[in-house]
Amino acid sequence: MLAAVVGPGLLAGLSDDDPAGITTYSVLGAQFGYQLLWVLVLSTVCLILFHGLGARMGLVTGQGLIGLARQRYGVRLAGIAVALLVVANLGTTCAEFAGIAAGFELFGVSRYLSVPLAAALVSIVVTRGSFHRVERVFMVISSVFLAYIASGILSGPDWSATGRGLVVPTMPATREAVLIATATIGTTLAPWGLSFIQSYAADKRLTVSDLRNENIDVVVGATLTGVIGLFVVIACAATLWKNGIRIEDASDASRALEPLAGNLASVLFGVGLIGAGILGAAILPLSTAYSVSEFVGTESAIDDPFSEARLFYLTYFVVAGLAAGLVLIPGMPLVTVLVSTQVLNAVLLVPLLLFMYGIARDRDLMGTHTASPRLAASYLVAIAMITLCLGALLVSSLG
Amino acid sequence: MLRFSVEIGQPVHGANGTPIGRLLDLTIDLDDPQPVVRRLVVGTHRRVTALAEWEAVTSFEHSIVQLGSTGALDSTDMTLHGGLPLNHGELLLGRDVLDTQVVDVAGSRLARVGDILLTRLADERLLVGAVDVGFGAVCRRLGLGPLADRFQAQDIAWHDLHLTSRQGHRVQLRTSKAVVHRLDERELAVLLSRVSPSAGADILATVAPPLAGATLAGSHPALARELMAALEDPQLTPVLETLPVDEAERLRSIRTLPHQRRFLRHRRRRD
Repeated sequence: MLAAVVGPGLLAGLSDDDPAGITTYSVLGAQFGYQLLWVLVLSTVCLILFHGLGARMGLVTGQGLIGLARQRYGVRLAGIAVALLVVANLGTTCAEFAGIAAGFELFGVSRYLSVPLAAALVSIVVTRGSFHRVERVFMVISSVFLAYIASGILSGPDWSATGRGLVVPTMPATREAVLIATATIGTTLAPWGLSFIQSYAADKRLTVSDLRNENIDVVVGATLTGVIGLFVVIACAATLWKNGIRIEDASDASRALEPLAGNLASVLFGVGLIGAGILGAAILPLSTAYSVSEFVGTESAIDDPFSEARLFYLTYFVVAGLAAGLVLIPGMPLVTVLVSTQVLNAVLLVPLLLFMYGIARDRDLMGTHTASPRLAASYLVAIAMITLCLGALLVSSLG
Repeated sequence: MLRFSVEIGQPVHGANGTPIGRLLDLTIDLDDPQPVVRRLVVGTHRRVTALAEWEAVTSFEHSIVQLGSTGALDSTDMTLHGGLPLNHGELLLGRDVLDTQVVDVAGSRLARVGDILLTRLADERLLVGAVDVGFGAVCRRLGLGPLADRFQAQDIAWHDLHLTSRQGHRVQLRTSKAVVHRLDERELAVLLSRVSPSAGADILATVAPPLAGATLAGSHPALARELMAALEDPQLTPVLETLPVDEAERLRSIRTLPHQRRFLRHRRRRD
């Protein structure tokens, strides 16, 4: 039964380890070594908390987040949320394709070949396959994340420093440290991930009887997300930080790993980057398609044929096609696009979390699964902490 | 024809002409085969200050609602989302119907209510005639009038709908006019495959047990498994009683988890 339920938590969690996430973890490891590993533990706890809530809302109501937001808060607020989500998701999908391009360029493959092929691949998989086939393909792609674990082990990390970094929360009193710590939390918990897990759980037609197994799926997915992040950090800490090498993105990390940890570690890191990009490039447009359909009121599913779910599939094609196209435009200021997207995601995350909190406390919608006062208090504490982190990130990004 | 979203928010004046708040919502009684507005919910943005019987309304116009008398209620801790003293079967159009998912039985699809269409009867009462599930209704509410005109209105008659929202549906269970009751088992199975298992279970619970049983027995095993998991015991028992014993047993077996099946087999052997 657990095998039949697994999927939403695992995919929503692992797709958070996208190229933007891998870049953040790489920079965290390269600049601060093992010291800030505890931030990953914190972000994993937040992921379990809110992905768990999203999945529960999907199972109890059978609806996605944007659909429920429209029902609970009206068309205006839901309309603003979906408009921001579409723009932010488009920007994030650009980041996924940029990651694919950078990953393939490590192996000498031109982006003009890899990006269109990747866009075509993810579009064919989602539009031609049944729900279960699509899910299986996503799971296979997810397995490339194991490459990061292997890469981390091959880099010969200091395990005692790793343990200390995980459980002893210390932080240098510098602007850079605050920035990277907040970015780590911001990149792990993304607005599109929250809307995806709920819509996907509803699309998978899970019910409240699956709640226990779905909770396991969420915890396993979020924990794996944290573990993969951990191995990316320790791979960079054991090599780049130890040798004082600074990097700008994940592909830099892969290149820099080669002389320090060997060719295999470097290749595995690059393969992981490509896999992460492909999974993100497949899931981001899907999350957008779910949200747009829910807002318009024509909820659709992966199993629906094109003739019955035109808006759903057109949204998917437009987001995937436009993002791939933007990445290929020569001279496109991708860094500006990615930073703006990060800011937009930060702006959108807190209102979405508050929407979720309101729905979780609504007895009419959640019935016997309404969040208890204690659980609601933990949501509020987490939202307050995330708001502080994102506020700091926003100020730093705009400053 | 009046649009619910346009009427909501207008000022409401009391018997002596003093403003007592804004129109927040309207209630109807679903037991009524032709539901007319029963009460007006009046208040400020967040708080309900009065529930007024329709009989108290002397004028219901676009610019103002005039009451002859007000059945005022204690306003303490009263919001639209909790604490409103509604009668059994009384439904709030804004809270429980607008923007909720409905099953469009005729189209075998899920839709979301963009607006509610009210008809003024000869005696001035407001009848709930239909809901508009088109995107044009959403655009109109967002203030995008010119864009709204590009989309065709998609009106569904009230009696052709099956509400799937928790509150709406609970009340809908007592109605027997919905088109869902006129579907055969094959049509019903198609409809159930399009909605969430919990909404499907709710729909099954509203139809006659023999039809529900035949639908479960004849549907795809994956769909039957989902529905069996979503149906609660009190809903399921009368349905399974209409089926041959072996068919009921087959359906029961797909409802139980593998480890439960092993446990039950063990118990049977031991007994």
